[in-house]
Amino acid sequence: MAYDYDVIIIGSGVGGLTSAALMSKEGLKVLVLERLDRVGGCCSNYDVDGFKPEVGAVFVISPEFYYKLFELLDLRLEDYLDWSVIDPVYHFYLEDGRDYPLPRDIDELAEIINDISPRDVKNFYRYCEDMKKIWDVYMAFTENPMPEVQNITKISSLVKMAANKELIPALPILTKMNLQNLDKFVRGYFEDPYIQLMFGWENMYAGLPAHRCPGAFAMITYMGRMGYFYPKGGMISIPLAFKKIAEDFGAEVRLKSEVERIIIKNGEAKGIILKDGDTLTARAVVSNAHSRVTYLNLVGEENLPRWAARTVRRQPCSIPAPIFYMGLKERIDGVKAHMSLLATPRRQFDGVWNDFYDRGLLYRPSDGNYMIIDPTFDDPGLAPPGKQVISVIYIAPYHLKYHDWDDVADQWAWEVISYLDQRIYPGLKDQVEWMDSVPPKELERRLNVAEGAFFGLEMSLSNMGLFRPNYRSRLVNRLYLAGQCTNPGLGVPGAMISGVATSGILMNDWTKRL
Amino acid sequence: MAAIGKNRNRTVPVLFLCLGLGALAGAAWAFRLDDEQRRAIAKNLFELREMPFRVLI
Repeated sequence: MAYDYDVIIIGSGVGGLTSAALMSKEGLKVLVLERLDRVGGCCSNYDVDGFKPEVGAVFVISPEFYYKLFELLDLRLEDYLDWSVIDPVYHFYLEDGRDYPLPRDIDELAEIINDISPRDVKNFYRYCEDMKKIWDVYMAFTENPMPEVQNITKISSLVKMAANKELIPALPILTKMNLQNLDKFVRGYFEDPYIQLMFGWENMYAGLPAHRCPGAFAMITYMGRMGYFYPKGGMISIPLAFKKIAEDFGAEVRLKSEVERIIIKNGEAKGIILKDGDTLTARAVVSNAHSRVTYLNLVGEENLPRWAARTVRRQPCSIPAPIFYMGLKERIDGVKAHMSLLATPRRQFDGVWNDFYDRGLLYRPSDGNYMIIDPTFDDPGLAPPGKQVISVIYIAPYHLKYHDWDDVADQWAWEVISYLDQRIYPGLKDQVEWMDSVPPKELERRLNVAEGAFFGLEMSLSNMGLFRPNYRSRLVNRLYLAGQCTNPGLGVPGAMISGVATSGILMNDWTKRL
Repeated sequence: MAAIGKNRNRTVPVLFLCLGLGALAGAAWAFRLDDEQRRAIAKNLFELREMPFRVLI
């Protein structure tokens, strides 16, 4: 049978484009299909009269993965991306009115901690010492990760990791951070509730309350000491770079091309049907879409065993992280970093978590935790001259018990804006020229992410590793998955690693199976 | 053989007694749980049930 393409990739997120770049470098005829008019999926921005807010991803973490990937592509990262380090990593607003920058430098950060809670300074150094051990394991494991990353869930890979000499000193902490929840793990180091919150708010990324989130997420705050980076032109620069690389290697990227179905014949993926009715065939299909969208919408329940459709449908998504974007008439003085955090003390916040996580209640604006992102802080070109664009990310339930999101989203956003105006950014409300509130259901419509969870599937232990959808589908032959819903999971580097793994497996299968 | 039969006769009621006490202790513990703990346990049981299927996806 003659195929139109060797591989068709559904979705131009970072995972899909990474796969496209690597496979087209190996000489495969690759087509990437994107339903929107821009690439990147959750790592993208959009333009409203010159205001270019980030859609989802807001900074780069673990830059070493990017360098490794460019090495694999035989290219230099500097030729494609121009990024700078974000310092302070973020600005933290405490509920009692104090606010502090959180610098990258460990000793400078210790001085800030000394100001908030002197007794936690020694705890902070102990935390850093422990996290450094984990970091060393991570770095040793990733020494040569990319060609073998597809083995991430295999026993042989774990044995190789166990043979790592950095592992022994880190083993007690590694065990503790994986067995304890984030809440308990952070409490094991710090006494002051604000400091606990500073080092343990990453459960937001997992979409879980801190008392149900793996302690390993505490590592993310330490990774900030290695630097968070922001590319010139915004986060969309990353997928744009991979698009250019893929195209230079001969891949085709089509925008505004929505896939309706994956063609399944005799349990094998044979191509796709576009929304406009066109049919394209390929020897293999890679889906960068959410696993639930891939299996239930694109493959179709009728092509799956009943137990499989039920399992896919039931696999929990992370808690939605709705967002609203604002274009401001003038820059306001209050914004002091690329990313600011306005947080309530842990116990109160956990109470709020229970309210919406379990009961579907929307909390009062003053009870929420907010990530406030100002991309123009590092790149003023992302707003018209003299103006500013701000995104506010929070967490909220997908289903509200007493309301419909479409009815309350704008009102809720304005309430939060009033709260921010009152608390940390005086004059904010009057400066808003344009506002776009995107509740979970709208996120789902815009980005095609199930339940508006742009952090993908829940990052709990029962949904990671072997329990996350496999790179090579076990349900449909010749179908492969990439993106946040596969391993290792959330974030831009996570999606990128999945793209490398999927392309590695597919290339390996090329001569043997396809 | 008779001796073994005798032992079994004694063991069975003890076993049932232990099971009954265990069930009572479990029930007493379950009644003391608050809503949040009950939901967490229900969620964990759900995850345990689903995990074997997830490996096959």
